[in-house]
Amino acid sequence: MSSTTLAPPRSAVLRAAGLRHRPALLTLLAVMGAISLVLLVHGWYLHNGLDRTGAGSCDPASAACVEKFKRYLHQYADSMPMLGSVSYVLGGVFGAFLGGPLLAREFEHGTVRFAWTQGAGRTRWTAGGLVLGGAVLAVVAALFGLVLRWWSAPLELMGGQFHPDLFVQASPVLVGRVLVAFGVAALAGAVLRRTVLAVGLGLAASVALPFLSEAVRSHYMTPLDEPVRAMTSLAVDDRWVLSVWYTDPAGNRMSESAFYDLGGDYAHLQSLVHDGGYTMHEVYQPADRFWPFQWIEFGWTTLLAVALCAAAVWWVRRRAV
Amino acid sequence: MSADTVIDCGGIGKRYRRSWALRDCHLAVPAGHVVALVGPNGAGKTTLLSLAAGLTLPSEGAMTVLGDQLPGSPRALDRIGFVAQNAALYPGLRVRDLLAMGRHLNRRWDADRARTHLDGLGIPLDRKYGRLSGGQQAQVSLALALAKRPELLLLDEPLAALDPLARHDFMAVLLTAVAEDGLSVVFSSHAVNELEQTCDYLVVLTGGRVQVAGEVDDLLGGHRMLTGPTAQAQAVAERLPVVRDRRAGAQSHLLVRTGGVDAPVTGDWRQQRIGLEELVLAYLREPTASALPGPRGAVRTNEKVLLP
Repeated sequence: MSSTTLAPPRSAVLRAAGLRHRPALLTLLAVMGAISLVLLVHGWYLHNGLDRTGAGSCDPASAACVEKFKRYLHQYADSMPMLGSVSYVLGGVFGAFLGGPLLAREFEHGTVRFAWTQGAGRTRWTAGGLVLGGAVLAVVAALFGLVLRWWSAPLELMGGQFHPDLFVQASPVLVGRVLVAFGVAALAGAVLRRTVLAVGLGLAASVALPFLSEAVRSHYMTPLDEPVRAMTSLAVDDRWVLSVWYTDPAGNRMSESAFYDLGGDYAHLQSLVHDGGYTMHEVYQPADRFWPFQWIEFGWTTLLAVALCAAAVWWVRRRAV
Repeated sequence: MSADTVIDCGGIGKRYRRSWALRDCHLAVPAGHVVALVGPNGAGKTTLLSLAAGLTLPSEGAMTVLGDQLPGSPRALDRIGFVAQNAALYPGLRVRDLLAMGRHLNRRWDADRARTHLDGLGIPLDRKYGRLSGGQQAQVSLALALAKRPELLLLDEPLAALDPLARHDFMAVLLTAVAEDGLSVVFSSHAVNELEQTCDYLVVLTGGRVQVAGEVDDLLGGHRMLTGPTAQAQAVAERLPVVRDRRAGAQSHLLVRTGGVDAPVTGDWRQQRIGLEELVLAYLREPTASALPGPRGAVRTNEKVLLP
């Protein structure tokens, strides 16, 4: 009367996972779309203001331009630092919201007993859900990172692109961070079987990760060292200054505080550097390392996320219902 | 290819933290039966079914299903349908999507069968699972399990949450499938009064051990209820294996195993056959009595065994 069909397993598991997770993925797209829309409108307002006040087109080294920029910030972007820190802290949360319920809810609702007794088996089913969720999340986070970066471009004039608030908002780093939150939440869901706990741990990981990566970021590549014969950095490129140190006329190294201990006012110190034979050394990461740094951070965070997801699959394999 | 046992385990045990849900459990269920698994709450019924479905691993011993397959192996998963207690599926998904999921997740899939099944009951395919009635949800779960064209169907308390009409519909579909495919069914149940119409093989599980296992006809034919004067009861009880012994002032009732023939009693003693419900209740009230098949497969010898 009817025939049994032979389904192609691997892609089919992904399609089944798509059906299973479609409501969650559509919610994710809707929320991210709404937030992006708000950012686009607000970003348009900010960029428009930058053009109108002329703060964006003047020479940033000139005092007049600094004045203009201050006026612009006052007029248009009072709330920007606050919003910037909000997006800094919350940047990875949607990974936690997608990853937390992915496995935990199956246990809570008892649907594992359906899903794990199908012909595909529990390993493929779990891996399929993680791959699908992670892939959609990565694409959404990459697009959202582009919007965030454009929105926060006016802030870049102030803090530089290596500023921690801004660095974590560019697409590669944001994608890695979102995936780590996703992996932590998914693994926690598999182990603890509680959606709320899993999402909470994912959120915690998402908030903690930037602090961890900020601590190690300067070590990705050996910083450069440049002697400067002025007290203020002349460089107007977006370099990331890590520290400064000094040498006295005899060439002996001295720390920044030892230099300031020489006494006198700022003008005196400046004259020491200018004419007194003292040299200031800037230890910095040059501006053109922005993208290599982004990809390095993307690399290790994504590897961490993959390891977390693999651990979740391993746990599901060996643990019983 | 057909295996001669659907569930075969010798000395299997499952421990959850400190307590044993199953302990030293010996069972060999032959193929081609509708098997009822009964027992008090906490007797290990769900655990036994979870082990057979490959959801749980045993703490000791081993189990094979469908002959020589390991539970949870790809070949076993392909050939076993499982309907969990409360038939939990994704409440936010439409019935149509659930069927599509089943099709994507199984190599053996009969989409027409599921569709015919649900259409026949008037269950709308574009309604969300969470908005169906309890009876309809159970039917969707059953349709998903039967569409795999399983050789063994495991059902955990399928009738517990259903009203009488829904129970009837559910068993009707199930027994039709049994008649069509000749599949084996193992289901756990509390509805002792309905067993006689539904099952032809009985397993009674008590305290994590198998107490009774056998074909319903053999079990019913192998037991007699003896009624006679209490004064002679002790003499009768010493001669025959007594399952349950109730002595009142004048008359006593002894449920004895006779091995398919009438009990050798005369005089003031009368004997009669009993129904399945009475038999099950008698064993449940006497957890130390047991009626197990003789040595075959993984099942150990039992000195009390009288059944062929």
